[in-house]
Amino acid sequence: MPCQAHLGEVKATKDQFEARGVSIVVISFAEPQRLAHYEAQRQWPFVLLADPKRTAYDAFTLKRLSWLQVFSLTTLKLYWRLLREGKKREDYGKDDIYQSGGDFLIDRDGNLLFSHRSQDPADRPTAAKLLKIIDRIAGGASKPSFDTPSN
Amino acid sequence: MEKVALNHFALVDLSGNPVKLNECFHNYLLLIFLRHLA
Repeated sequence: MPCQAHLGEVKATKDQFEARGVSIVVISFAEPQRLAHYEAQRQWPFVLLADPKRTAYDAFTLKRLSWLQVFSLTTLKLYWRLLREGKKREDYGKDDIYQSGGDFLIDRDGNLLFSHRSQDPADRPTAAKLLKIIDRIAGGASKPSFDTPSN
Repeated sequence: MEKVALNHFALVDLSGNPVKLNECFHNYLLLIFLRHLA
């Protein structure tokens, strides 16, 4: 559910990303058939791509989380809040719960301008933060922005 | 600045067709890597 909450937040501000010339691509390590089933249910307005061999996950050094990270207090609090808001945990079959996720901003030349590797399932940059970083970069900031692990 | 080899990933669309990330670009590309689907 935390990933779905993150996508929901980005979806709500999709127009603001588009106005800044930002395309959004969502990548999953699920097999394309499972991802197609998921998309049929969710109808996200993003390009969804499958990376079943995790070549991109590996290239962006998205590591496996520990049990303590997956079930951190922050994560449990987020799950509790989402459940209270009426969000449901959908079943799309057996999954690898230990794979970490992340958010990355790249320019057309392949320069990595921003990176955020999640340290637990609840650890995602807010859409507002992403937009602020994009504005800073578009405004001429020369240095890339790399989030440091919070733990 | 760290460079990403955009077309070196084995990414496929929902039908299983190969996709190159540079086909998905506007000015910038925000990549969101999911953990799992649930």
